[in-house]
Amino acid sequence: MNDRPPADSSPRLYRLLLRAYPADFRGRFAAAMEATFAADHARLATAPSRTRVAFWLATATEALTFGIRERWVARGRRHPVPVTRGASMLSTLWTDVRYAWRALRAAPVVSAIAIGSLALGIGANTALFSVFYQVLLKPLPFPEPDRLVFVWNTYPGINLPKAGVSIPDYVERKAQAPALADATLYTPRALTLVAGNRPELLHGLAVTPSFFSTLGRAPFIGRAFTDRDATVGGDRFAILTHDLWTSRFSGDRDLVGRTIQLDNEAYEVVGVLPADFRLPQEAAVLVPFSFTPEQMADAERGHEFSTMIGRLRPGATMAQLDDEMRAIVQRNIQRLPQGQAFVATTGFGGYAVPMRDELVGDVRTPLYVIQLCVLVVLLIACANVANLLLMRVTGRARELALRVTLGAPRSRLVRQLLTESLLLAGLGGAAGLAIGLVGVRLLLAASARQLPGSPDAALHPAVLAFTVGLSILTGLVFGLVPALAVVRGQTASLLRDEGTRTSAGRRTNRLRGALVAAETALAVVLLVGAGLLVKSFMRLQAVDPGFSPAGVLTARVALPETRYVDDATRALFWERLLDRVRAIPGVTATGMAQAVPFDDNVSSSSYSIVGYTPPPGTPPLHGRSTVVGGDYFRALHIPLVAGRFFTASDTAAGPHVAVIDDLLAQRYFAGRDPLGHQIQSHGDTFTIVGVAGTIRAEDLGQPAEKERIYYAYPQRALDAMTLVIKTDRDPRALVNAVRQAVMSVDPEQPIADVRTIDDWMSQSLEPRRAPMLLLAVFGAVALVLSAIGIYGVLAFSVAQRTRELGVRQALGAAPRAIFALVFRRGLAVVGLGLVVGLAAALAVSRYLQSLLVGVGARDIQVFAGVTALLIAVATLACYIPARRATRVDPVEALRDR
Amino acid sequence: MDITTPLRPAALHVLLALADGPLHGYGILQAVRERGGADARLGTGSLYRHLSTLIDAGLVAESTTPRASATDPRRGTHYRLTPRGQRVLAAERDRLASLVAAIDAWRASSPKSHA
Repeated sequence: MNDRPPADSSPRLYRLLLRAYPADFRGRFAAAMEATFAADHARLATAPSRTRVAFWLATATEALTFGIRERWVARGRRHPVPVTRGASMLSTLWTDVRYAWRALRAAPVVSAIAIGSLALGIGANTALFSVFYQVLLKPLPFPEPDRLVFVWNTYPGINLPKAGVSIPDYVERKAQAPALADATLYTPRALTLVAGNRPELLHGLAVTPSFFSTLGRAPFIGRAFTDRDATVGGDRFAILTHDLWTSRFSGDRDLVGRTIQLDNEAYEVVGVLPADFRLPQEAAVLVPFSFTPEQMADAERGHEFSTMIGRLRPGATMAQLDDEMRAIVQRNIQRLPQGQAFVATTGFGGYAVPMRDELVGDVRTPLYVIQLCVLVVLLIACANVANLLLMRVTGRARELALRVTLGAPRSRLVRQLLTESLLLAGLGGAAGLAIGLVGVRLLLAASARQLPGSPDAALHPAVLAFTVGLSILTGLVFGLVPALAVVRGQTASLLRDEGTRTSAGRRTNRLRGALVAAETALAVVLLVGAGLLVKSFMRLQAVDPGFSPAGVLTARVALPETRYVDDATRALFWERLLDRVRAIPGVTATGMAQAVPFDDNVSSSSYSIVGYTPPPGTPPLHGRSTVVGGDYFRALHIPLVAGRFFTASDTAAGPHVAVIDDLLAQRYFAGRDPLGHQIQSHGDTFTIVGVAGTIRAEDLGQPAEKERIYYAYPQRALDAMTLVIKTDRDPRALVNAVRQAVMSVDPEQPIADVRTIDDWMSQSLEPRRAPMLLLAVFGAVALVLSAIGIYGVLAFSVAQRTRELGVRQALGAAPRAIFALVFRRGLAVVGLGLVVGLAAALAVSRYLQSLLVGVGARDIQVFAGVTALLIAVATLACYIPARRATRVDPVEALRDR
Repeated sequence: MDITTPLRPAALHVLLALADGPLHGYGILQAVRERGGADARLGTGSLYRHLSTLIDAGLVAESTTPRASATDPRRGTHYRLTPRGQRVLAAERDRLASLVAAIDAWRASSPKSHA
């Protein structure tokens, strides 16, 4: 029969069961019991399996119940008087805490190091978890958020995987997709608020009235929009965000029902959003989104400037919704056969994304990875502290032994040691919380724009619970090691040479060494990553973007259509504004542009070159386009390659002209003179009059990919432009003068985004700076922890080998030899960690490649630098214990134990 | 353990098994099982539980001169009754005997109550 345990496994199993008994009972009876059991079990060799199962069940039950009973009885025997029961429990705890405090104070350096490592570990975790929680875990502030989806258009055939939704798309999907219980469409709308003589450009959102029913939230005072509010011509209603309501209207409840001035028109405030209402994009005010019949017509398809959110019917899936949207496209093709070819080549369709996924975006994986890394760092901190505590318990072996001799029950000592660990962890946790709260501020300052949902630095209850839980857990984890040593009565043997002689002692020593090697390796990996990013960042700052950002102030001015109704009034405004700005002292050149480099405001369009036919099968020409006015090129020091820049004679009435960049010239006019050729775009024809230098305007780390065409302001009039002001002074000192210049032209006209080009560039570097800072900080933490680890292991081994070291000295070993002995062991551990870490860094650093500019993923300088840094720190950490080893007094060491 | 305290049936069986002379653990198990009865469902765990109480009470001792068993050294530990154990066993026998006698006397005096 194969189902019975093999012949030799039953004694082992039984021996395992016997562990239920207390040790002294086992000492008396275990051997006899095993023999008896073996004989009894042999009887069953031929019994049916049912009998054997019953036998094992009975045996196990007996062993466990009697074993535990024996323990209970044994406890009673050891505690003839219940000294720590009931009311005295508290006072015992108090005694323990006081004693633990004294013990910590008695070894201030060790305690400080332990608390410091814990604080670092717990602080890093608290900071990161604060972000992690708010981005990934905190429920969205809407009822049943799992049913909320973003709906996008997609054109896989022309490499446009994600696009906004047009009004007719929205209308028909809302009406014809049964999987949607409700849906809303919204679009950003800039609005100028004038309140108390102060104009301010607000981000607004135009939302369909179904916005509130879809999201499932209502304003906290006032009402939501009704369908009647969204009638064309009668839609001057507004709902304010809580922020705007408190900051601009001091939280005045009577505001509801009154009117405010937006874009020079009276809007009736109908409600205020709750403070925790999370808008899908940044906005301060909501207005109704009303559709004209023309806007809902088929001709509007492709005008995808809006975003759609849907609420799924209970039980409906996103796959159903996707299918239904496909069906709608098919029905439309039957109705409009002329669209068939377009749908076939572009693969046009719609798809849904869970709201959380859309809002979290692509930060999910990095957050998980970093949180994991930080938890590993904490684990390493725990291992360190465990090592330190073990060392201290060993140092107190005599005290502990004495207390056992005097009748202290082991459980009491264990409780005492655990109290000490928990006190340490508590102090570490408190310091860690402080570090975490500062850390999360730094984290947010470095990467707020990359994190969705604008997480704050406030201490959320969940984060507090996480930190407290983590502290207790770490206290137990690292406290368990010395406590177990006491339980097993190993405290004394730890100190004797047996610690290194027995195989178990060697095993734990090896484990300790391996832990330190592992943390060293981790530190190496993090430091190499940080080093590569730092070097890349330094290279990046030296990159020439093709223009000069020094001393340039920018400010955005958006003219509301209600007051500037035609091109002529707008042109007049810009002309007067540029004149006023030029007159400001210190200004050397003034221009304006549709967008300035690195302001994230990217505008592109299709164009064609007269006389040039792209090879068949290639897409139509497509490039960046920028409308510029005034001395834009001179203000940014963009070099002129050929021809001329725009002049005052390029008026709206004159011949339309364009300046192209060098990239376009080289791509399509290789070897020919582009001047005089014509470009068609925006339904107009422009003659090329000049070639400007190529600039980097989106990613400082990448050469410009798209060619760029500049148009002259009066020939293409826009209602929003950014002033570009070059000065030979501190550009920030001009802010007020620029504001006054705008006010002097139009007192109700706000300006926004007043900042230097350097600010814009610095902001564009954020996706590179944030990982660099994170890696650098965690790398530094890991380095400090591994130094503590090396120190702990060596100091412990010196304490363990005191006797051996004493003998060596007595036999005439020179202090130098003893120093080398200890030092070698430390360097062996560090060397192992270094080699493993460098190998791991070589293996994983290529994942950083996309973030690196001008630096290879295996940059020898960085790898060498990290190696040198690590060796320097490790040497320092090895020095102290090695030095102590040479000071062992042989007489003391030999007499003592 | 007070001599007058009634023994548990299983403990009594263990003492009884040792009355004939020292035995090792499995020997006791076998002897108890041979005598049979509902009380005789003794496993290794309960046997040693009783042994430990009996030893602590001074009724049983680990044999100082175990009968050496060359074939199985692990059966080396034997148990024997101490003089006090013998006295307790005898006392228990007397106690039970007088109990039985009392029951018999009661049955004899009221025959109708017994079928």
